[in-house]
Amino acid sequence: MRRIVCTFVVNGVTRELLVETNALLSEVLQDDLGLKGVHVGCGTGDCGACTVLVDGLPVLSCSTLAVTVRGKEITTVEGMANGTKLHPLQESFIEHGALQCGYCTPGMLLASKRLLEINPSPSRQDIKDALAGHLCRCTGYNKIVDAVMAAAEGEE
Amino acid sequence: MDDDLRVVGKRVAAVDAYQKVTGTAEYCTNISLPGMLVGKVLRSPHAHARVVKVDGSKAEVLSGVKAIVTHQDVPRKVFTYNVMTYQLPQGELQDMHLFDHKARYIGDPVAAVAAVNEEIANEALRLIDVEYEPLPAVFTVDEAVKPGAPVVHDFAENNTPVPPTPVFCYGQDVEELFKEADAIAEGTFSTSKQIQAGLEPACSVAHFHDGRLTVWSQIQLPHMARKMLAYLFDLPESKVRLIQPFAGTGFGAGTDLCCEPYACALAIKAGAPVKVLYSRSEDFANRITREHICKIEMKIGVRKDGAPLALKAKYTGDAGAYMCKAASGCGVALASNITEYKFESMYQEIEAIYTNHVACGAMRGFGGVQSSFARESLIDEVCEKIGMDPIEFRLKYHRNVGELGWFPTTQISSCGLDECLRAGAETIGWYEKKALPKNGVRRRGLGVACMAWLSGAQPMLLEHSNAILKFNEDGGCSLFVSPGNMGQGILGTLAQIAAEVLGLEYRDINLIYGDTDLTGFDIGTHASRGLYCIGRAVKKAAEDARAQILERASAILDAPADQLDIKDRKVFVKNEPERSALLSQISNACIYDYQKGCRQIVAHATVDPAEFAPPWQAGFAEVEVDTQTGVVEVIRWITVHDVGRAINPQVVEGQLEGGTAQGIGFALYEDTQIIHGKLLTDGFDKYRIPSMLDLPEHETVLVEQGDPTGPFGAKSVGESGLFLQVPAIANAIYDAVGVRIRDLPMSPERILKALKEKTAP
Repeated sequence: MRRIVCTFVVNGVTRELLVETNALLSEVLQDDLGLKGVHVGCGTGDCGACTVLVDGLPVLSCSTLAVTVRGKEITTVEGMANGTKLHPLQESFIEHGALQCGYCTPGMLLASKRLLEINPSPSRQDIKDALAGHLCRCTGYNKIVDAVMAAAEGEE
Repeated sequence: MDDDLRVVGKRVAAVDAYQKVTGTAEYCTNISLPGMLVGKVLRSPHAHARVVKVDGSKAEVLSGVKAIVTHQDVPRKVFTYNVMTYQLPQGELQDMHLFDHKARYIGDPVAAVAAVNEEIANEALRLIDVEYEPLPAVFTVDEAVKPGAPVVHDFAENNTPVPPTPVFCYGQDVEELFKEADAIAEGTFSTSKQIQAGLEPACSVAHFHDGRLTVWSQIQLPHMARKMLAYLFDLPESKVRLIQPFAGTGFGAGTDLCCEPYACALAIKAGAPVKVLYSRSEDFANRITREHICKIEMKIGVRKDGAPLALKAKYTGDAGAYMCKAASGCGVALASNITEYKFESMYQEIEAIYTNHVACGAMRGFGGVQSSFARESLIDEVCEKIGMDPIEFRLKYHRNVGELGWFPTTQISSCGLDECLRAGAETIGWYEKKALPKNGVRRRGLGVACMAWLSGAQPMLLEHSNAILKFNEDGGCSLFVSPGNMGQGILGTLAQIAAEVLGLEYRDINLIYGDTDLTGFDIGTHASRGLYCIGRAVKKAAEDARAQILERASAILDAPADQLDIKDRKVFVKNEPERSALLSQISNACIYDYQKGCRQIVAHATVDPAEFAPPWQAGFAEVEVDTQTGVVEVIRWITVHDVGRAINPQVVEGQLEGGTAQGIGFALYEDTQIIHGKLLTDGFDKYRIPSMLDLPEHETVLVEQGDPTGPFGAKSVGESGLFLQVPAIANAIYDAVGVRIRDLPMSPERILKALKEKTAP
């Protein structure tokens, strides 16, 4: 397998890595960078758990070749907090009990972050539309919608 | 109820939430150990075949392959994935062998490899030469019991390890009572083989080092899993350590072993850590599914005033290739039927049959989901026949405190069903909406259903739990417990119980969990037992620690211990609160006593409960049925739950809301399709679980009257959230369009077919 040197800006830090051309973004983030918040649920792009932000846009890291996003800014859930200060969405997910097993949580948080950037005052339906591609088997979703609503209201 | 509570009853954040929102939480899938190998399982492509030869010699010499295991490498022992077998003195039927000489379903493990990376592991799988002798296979229980059917296990005549067996029957001859009945309803119901479908795929890591086997597992029953793995690999239990990182799955999936035996076999042979991670399709096709009661035949009879006379039922389980929990699933289905109504007489049978399907284990609502579907549908039908409102029937004829629980010798300890029914009827507008006319293409209907469940399977099963509290100098403490660790909220809830008893803050309690080397024995999490059983152990340990603290404080404050109280980390004399000592002062003195009086405060409690504390519930569905497409839309779902006491209402709501989603999925579209033994629905694209857009507005209403036996009055809530969507939606469909659907899922095709049959001349 051919390997090429790639540069990624991961959670604000520039990383230069030797990447196999068939390596998935999820594999590079997990195996090369040790980011435990990248969760693969299906490997086929059906569940949304592995979502990360690439230049601010939600991307399924399990279905993205790492070499295709070289040079770009990648944000994982580890990059949401500012030092010890959690992102308002992280705070809100904790406060509203918007997670149980937590496996879908990183994807939910990152997709919600993007939503609030483009739509700072979403309706409940806007949130459901934006997060419809993110499956959760634990919560029944009510508390996730509550948490995103509250985070949006808190930021206004 | 005692409402002078400071920590219990509060909405506090889950203890693991911070780790989970910051991406630092450890799961089996993200564990990485130095030198860790990739483990892969070679699976039978045949539903039924003799394994004549397994030759790994070509794979063995492939560079990067570190271990190949076949039946030759493991002790030949009969075992079962179902580690709950240890909860019964006689155990449950065990019928599995690691890498057996016969494959009994498509996917049955034949060998496994460990290699330095995934590519090499996959290549090694291709190089293992297996000679199969394919055998005829059997895929339905009806075919399996016919003379001359393929034999799945030699010991099981007619493929029937559990022939029709009456269990927990009571009262006089049901057939005689049916003759007295003014209304009878009967039917045959079928369900699909629901998949637990947690978002984290099956995964286990094992490491055999210095004579000890360490296993990272998603199991819900850690100590019994340790016992089974120790047995399987000829090790004493003390040489096996089972670690539970956070599990991204559960819902009963973790009550059976999955990839652990394969990871262990490989790690022992390779002498290096091995991770076995199933792909999503491998997980769906090989992780054993919901207890598969494929058929429920039920008949009920009532008098014209509704008085319930007799109930007769038979539950048939398609066990698949191995028994695991097929028989116990059927057994619980019938047991859970006993509590709800005052039937004079009940006769119920179970039967379980082998086929060449993947085996079935357990899912939330074990057996009770299926019996509720049949019973609550038939109750609705007899109510219509005698002209009685279904809520009135339930208010009048449900069992109550002191009456029969599930198991002989048990009595119901509390019951808030009346309040559940009344609150739900009012919230959904039952009486007003029921009176509305039904017309047009899209028709609305209302349905109700009820259920009583349990808080642990005692006294039928052993439900032993332990809790240990260890105090530090500052008065904070560590609480050692061992529930299943899948984010259900139990950890924080147990901390709330301890903090309440000890006059501490929630965050003063440091939870130690998920490691059999550290914690006391625990059955773990199943049968909605966690809060009730482990909670009782925690309360007992906390009361012991409290007594130790007060005894020590008694000397410091020069007052008898029984006149002291603890609040806000302070011990004080009850009628002279200004005479007080900080808990930190007392705790520190226990550790740094230079007068030779050192005794760290450590408390341990064991419980093995026997009481039966059922949570009660009423579920209300409002649906809209499109008579042209057959599509059922749930407009509103309300569950009203008598939980005794919500230790953390947010956690309780979370359990019920999550159960609701799984119940609506099971009712309407979760549909496992297996053709000739091959699972077709092997991904989230084909096996559809509810997304955010699929669910209606759903609400949870809690009824809290306290249970005399539960910790601070609490009963269970883990499973019961998904019981009633199926029967309530079925009843609402009938209310809307007049057809009774008795097969799951209630798909548009089935609705349209039923509508067509109804209008046919």
